[in-house]
Amino acid sequence: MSDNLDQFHQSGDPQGERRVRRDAQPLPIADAADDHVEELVPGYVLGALEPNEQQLVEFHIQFCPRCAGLVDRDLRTVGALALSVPAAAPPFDAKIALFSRVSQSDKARNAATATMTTQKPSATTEQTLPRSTPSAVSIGTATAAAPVAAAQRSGWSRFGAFASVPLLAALMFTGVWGYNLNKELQTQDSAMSELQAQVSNFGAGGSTVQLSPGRGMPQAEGKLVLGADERAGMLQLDLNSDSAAGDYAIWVVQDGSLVPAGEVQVGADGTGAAQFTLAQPFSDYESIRILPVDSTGKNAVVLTSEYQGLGGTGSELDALP
Amino acid sequence: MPDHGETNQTNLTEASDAALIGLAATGDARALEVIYDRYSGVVFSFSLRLVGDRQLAEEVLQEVFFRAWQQGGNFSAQRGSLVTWLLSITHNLSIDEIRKRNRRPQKADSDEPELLLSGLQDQGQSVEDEVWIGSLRGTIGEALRELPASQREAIEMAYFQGLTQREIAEALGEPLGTIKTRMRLGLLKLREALGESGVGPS
Repeated sequence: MSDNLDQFHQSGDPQGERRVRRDAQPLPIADAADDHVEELVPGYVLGALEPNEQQLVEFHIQFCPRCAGLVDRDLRTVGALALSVPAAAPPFDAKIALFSRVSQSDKARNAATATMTTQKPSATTEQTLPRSTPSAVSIGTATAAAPVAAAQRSGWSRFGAFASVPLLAALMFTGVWGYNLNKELQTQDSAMSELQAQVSNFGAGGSTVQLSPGRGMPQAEGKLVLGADERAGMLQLDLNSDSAAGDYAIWVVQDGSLVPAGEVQVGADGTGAAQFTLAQPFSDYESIRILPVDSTGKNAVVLTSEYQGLGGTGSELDALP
Repeated sequence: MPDHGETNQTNLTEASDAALIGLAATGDARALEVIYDRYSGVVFSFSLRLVGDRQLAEEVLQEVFFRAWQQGGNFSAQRGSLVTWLLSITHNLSIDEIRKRNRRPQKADSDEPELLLSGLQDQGQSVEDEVWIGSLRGTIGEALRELPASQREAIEMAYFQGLTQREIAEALGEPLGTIKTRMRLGLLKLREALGESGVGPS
């Protein structure tokens, strides 16, 4: 697929990629600019024109608001045709594949670079961070860029640039506001560091761990995608049940004890995904278990890595510590 | 898992499509994730309907949202809804794949437009969107059923099978002008049936 499928919103071209394709013929430029093309619009929005006809329409609507309006109008009609198709659930792996690609894109890298260079140059610059912190369930690289980008769009950066250090220092040390702000900045700093760790590790030579169903959900499927240092990863699961919606806890097992590693929300379709970070590399733990948030018993386990290497299908759980 | 940012994510899930694509254009992957959760179902379904192959439809699905990520700045809410924009990209990519691989969709559901409308549940959409799409599905289904069979056939062969007007004329043994007329009249009737509001859930 070529890269020039820009959208009709940019140039009035809903057919994007096709405009430079195949046996394109020279355009009658003068006619294209002067004559309306409304007779071609139905075929155009349905993607049924010959290449030279498409080029004619695309050239014309760049200069003709009337015909561009007809194209927009008919695109909405054919959009309804598209929406009339019965729904099919996207594949289990599609989302993680997409966001892995997103996290490795130049755009995400550039955003991450911006984050790294603007994180802590001075106390006043830290004021430019927005009050909210990034979501733990979002995807690594570009997520880290969002607060900075948002701050740059807001007036906070100007405030930070003009606010005096003594004034900020006074606020910081003379009251609850200062305390709360300082605490929040520390939280944000921690979150940013965490995300930057994900930026540098997620998707760069990571690995995949297939999970096995536990007794609590024998039909469940799931897997972990781990970053290169195995500290950041994403859990994707499909419980293959339309009655399993709810919150599930992610536990890692260390020295026979359960250590909380996060939560994942399962939707009405039985699927869910969440990103998590670990204090140690995943391989330092004995296993991972996914359970309903209000349960910790073995019989409630819906997914686990504990059968790996055992060749079992679920009954060996009791033999484990 | 730390829950910081949960509120922010909640706000994003309530944001408008235009706001989300704007954020995605600045590099906010969380916004893209919300868009994906809203529309991956309709994009995948539509692509699957066009290419008739789940693997290929998955590739198209990924490409559509990756292009939204890269080119979100080109979107203009004044010219149409985000879902129309996404579906337009989906159509372009899917039809191109059909033509490139000389593949045709599965015959099973391509002859009977009513089958397009039968009641599978949408995935990953809000209740409001499901209601809206369900309503739209009913409306477009009725409009399609009321079209003369020849007009419906011409539109479907073009839109869902990726045939050009000339190819349709050859396949049906009809003059090219007749096919063009059928498409024009068919779209006109669909537009009238749907009203000028067209599509756009947000």
